[in-house]
Amino acid sequence: MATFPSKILAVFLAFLLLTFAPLIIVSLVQDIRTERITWNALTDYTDIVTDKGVLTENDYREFVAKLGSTGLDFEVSVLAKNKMVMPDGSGNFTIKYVSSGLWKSSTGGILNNVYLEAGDSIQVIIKPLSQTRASALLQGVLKLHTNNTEYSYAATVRNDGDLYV
Amino acid sequence: MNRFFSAVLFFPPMLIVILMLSLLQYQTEASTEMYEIMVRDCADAANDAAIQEALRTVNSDIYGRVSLDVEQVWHVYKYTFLTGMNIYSERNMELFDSYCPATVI
Repeated sequence: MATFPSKILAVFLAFLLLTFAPLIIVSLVQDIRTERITWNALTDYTDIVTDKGVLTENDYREFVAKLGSTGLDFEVSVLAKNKMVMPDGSGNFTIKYVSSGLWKSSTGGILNNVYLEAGDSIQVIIKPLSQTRASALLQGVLKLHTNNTEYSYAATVRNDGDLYV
Repeated sequence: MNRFFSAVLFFPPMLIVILMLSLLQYQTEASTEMYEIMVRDCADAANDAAIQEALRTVNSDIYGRVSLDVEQVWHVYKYTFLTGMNIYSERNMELFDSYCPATVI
């Protein structure tokens, strides 16, 4: 017959397994859901801006609120780039995108509305500042250092912003 | 009875190892899938940008001849895709060209 400590150890290990397995699985599923919510919020916001052609404080706040529903902290950067088509003298044209600077970030930025023209580009970058529960668990249990995914998305403005003034 | 308890003692660690390996695999698959979604969406956005650029710049003369600067449209596609992926640089624009040259239909 197995010794008493062995039995205790077996029961303890079984308990650990029964407790942590569902916890880790739920965390991982939640992690994936968070990623999807973040990405959908990002693409939705970019679509709204490119449709309207204007960067507004209201849309930005709604976007940040959606991100907040994931329970994580994010650093958000919104970059608006104006398209310039320059003739090179030989009948051809060169396209350049000129950034007027960072429109908005979680640490501040320009507050006024920015009106864009059709053809301009907008880029939104999101960096998670806090760790998800699953990556914290993986780091704690397996000593795996998972890098937080940085989300970036860009799109071209479809309509002139002054249409919505 | 002895054997039974030895087996009992053996199973939990084995299950924990199997569980951890499964979780790792699950995590890797989830990351890959997320990356695929991101690339696909960025490609969609680039495609949309290229179509808009084509519609804006297409020129039709009084004889019905249609002309379009394909290079310009292609430039917008590459720029939007690479910016979306946050890997835009002049070097990457050239690399993109050599891997995926534009095809004029």
